Amino acid sequence: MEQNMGNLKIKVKELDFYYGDFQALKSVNMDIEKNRVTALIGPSGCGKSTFIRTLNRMNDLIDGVSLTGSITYDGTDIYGGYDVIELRKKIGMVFQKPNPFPMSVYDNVAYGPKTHGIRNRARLDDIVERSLRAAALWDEIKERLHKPALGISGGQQQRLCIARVLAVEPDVVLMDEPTSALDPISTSRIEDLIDQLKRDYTIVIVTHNMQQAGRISDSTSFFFEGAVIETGSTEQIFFNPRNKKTEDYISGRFG
Amino acid sequence: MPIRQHFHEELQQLHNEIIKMGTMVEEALDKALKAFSEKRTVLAERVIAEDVKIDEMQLLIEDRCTMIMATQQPVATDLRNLITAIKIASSLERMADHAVHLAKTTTRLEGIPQIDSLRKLIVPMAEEGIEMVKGALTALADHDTEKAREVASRDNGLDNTHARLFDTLVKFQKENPEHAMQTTDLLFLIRFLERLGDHVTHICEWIVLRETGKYTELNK
Repeated sequence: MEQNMGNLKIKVKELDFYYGDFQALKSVNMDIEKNRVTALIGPSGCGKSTFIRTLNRMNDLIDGVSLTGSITYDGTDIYGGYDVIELRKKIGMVFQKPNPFPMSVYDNVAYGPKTHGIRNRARLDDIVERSLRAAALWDEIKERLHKPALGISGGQQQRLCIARVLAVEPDVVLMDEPTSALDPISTSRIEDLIDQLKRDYTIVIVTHNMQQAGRISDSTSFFFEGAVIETGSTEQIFFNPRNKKTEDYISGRFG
Repeated sequence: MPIRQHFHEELQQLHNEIIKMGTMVEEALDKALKAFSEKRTVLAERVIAEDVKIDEMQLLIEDRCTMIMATQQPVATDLRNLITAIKIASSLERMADHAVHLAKTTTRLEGIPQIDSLRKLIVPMAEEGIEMVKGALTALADHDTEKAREVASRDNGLDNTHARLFDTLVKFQKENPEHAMQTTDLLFLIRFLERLGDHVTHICEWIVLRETGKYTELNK
């Protein structure tokens, strides 16, 4: 794929990743472009979730992991002394299951900015409203800002988690199967939201839903047994994949 | 039966149906040409009557493709198979219409021996076109893109034959104004035979798309 260096957000080079002796990622190379949606697909256990977690060093929390190769974000090596708190602020993450904190809707969104030192009430109000609007949740939730977050629907909770990520003004949003626990209507709202968010953010999404990857992503990478088998524009991957394994996987012949 | 296996069998069935429709069209053209060259009106009428079966076959194929797309969300080769099946069925249906044109012309020219010399000139053009149809159907059944390209490349020859016959027919028309009606009929007929080559070219293009994922205009 042609690569315009000016649009490069994250560059992954020869990444190997181990859980103890088990090699979960093998020589992964990937260019993630700015303001684009990159989808990671592949069967369970192929390494795509491990991979997405290397991008903001979420795997640092696991004992016995090791990594070689490099990941640069805006040209800086994220494993070379980058401040992890700062990194996770810049590269936020949304998980498979909505995981709001057991506090009010408002406090969920304000939590991140508060930990980064923002105490001014008016400023927090502004951040909460902007983040909830950006996550397409404000109109539904503005009357219930001080109600418990755990009391809203699953689809709303997931959008709240997206708002929580947006509140700390990230640059990249990582999503690990963000709609797999949601019904089709909530899924569709999240997909619309992703499509809007890519104007301002760079998005990387792991999905098991082939049609979702087809609908929302600009580029798609197929992982298999820890390696990237094929990367291409989403149109190319879904209409004319070059690799037989990719073809077999996306057409449901295995996986 | 596992769901995915059922899906792949449906795709295989679709392929068989396309080949079957192709064979029906090939037979219709063969019969229509025989009727035209041997002045067999009854055979021509049978071609006209049987065209409805080919129309039904097209609908059946389109319905099957629509149903598979709606329920299975096919991608890659499977998707290309379905899209090209719809396009190929549509081209085949139009080719069958040209068999009907040939048959109808045969019935209209009954009892007019004065144009037999023209009839003899047109038969080789029809044979040329039908040979292309057969070649395309072989390429279709064998997933053979080389054959598809070769067949499409013959279309220029058919266009040249058309141009040559056009001049001959117009000359005949000027010299025999009392047969203006019949020669006009034959002028339309050679135009339809020329179109037959265009449909063959389209089918060859769909074969190449199906096999390679790339649309290539053959024989520009």
